[in-house]
Amino acid sequence: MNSSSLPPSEWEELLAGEAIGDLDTSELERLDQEFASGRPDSSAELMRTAAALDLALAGAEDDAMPDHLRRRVALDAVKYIPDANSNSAGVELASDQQPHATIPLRERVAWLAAAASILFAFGTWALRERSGGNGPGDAIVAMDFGKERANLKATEDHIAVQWAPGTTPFETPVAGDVVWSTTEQKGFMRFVDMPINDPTKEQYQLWIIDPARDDEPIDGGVFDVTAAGEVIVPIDAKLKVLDPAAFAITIEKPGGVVVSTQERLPLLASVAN
Amino acid sequence: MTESVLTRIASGDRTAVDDCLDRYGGLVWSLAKRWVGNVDDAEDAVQDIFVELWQQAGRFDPAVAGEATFVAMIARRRLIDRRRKQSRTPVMETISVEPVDANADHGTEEILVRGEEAAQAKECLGKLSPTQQQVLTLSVHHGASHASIAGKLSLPLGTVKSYARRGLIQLRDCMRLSADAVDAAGLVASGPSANVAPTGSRS
Repeated sequence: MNSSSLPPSEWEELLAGEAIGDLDTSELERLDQEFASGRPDSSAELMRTAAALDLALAGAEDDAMPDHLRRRVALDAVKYIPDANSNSAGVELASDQQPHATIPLRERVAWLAAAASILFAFGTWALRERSGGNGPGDAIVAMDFGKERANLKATEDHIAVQWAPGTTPFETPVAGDVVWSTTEQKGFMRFVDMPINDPTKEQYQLWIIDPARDDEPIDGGVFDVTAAGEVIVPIDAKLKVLDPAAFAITIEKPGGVVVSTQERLPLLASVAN
Repeated sequence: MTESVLTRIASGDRTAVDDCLDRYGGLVWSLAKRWVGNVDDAEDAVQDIFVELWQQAGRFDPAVAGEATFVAMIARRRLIDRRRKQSRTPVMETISVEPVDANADHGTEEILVRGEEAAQAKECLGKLSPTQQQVLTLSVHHGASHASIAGKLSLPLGTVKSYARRGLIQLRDCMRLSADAVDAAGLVASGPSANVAPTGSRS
């Protein structure tokens, strides 16, 4: 019910002007005074009418949003949409079960959020330039790369970071680390007690978060774990890595994905001081 | 029926962001470009719009408005607020005054993308005078000022203002009737046993 003192036709025209966006300052002030406690229902109805007309006049074709803008919008979304699958409490609880983790918990959680945000941005950016992920046959089969890993670890510029629980940790703790050399563009993941996957149903995929390069995580390769105990998997970075900030493991459909929704992100290794 | 991405977002399904951007990213970007003078500002505006969309997604009610209409409404409101704060006038050089073909048929696909309300709006716009159609198009679609429209169409300023505002009211009234007609048709189609509710004003 409208309680305005203005004649209906006059306030309705002002509301129409507001919906169009053509009110001048004095008209807007007048409208605000008349409806100090809130606009009447007809205001929303006129706005819907203007929106519908705008849609009608726009036709079916829109210009595509620029990719960089889409990425920024997706990054923002993480801040404003509560994650229904959030499991940060699980990360904290599980942290005690990661004896090799050397990064302070608070920092690790912050990195987790940052890395997840970047991954999410990548996922929602959804550049579909490539027709699909890696083919199932391209998956790296986990095997003994222990000697090569040891050699790499002997180099001066290598980094070694421990795995910590991601946003959706495994039911049982998984230990291990990532050894990476930016100079050699080579690295290995080591997992202890990583669940064996069924490659016909799902595969693991590594993502390398490298803000020095871009906000887009780099696809680090799809792989399977076929044996219990310790397994070592070579990293298969699809792009040159400049300064990795974190490594994240997601579980994806067979063949992996170009765009990860991060619904399952069990492990994260953050490179932090 | 297509699942509402806004409902998914409101429930915390972040994977819906991608779908939302697929579905409405171009719409919002095109709207912003029409309303904002330069690309940088348009990009800022798009970010603002989507932040509000994420925050307001829970208020989306498909019984009140189509999803595309809801998104366009949020976008327009932000763009209008933004312009008001910046006190900027649109650049008329970029505005086309091509005659509006309100009867142009963009097909079923457009109705699916834009929603039934857009189809109704188009139909109702066709019932207005050609001059009113032009004024509303420039005003609503391009966000042109009264002065700009008056200059372009050689009309008195007061006429432009009343054509735009009364034109929108007429459009709303026409769309109400269309919606009522659709509702009535639905009731008739549902057979004699249907409960017929009294019709009245929607506002």
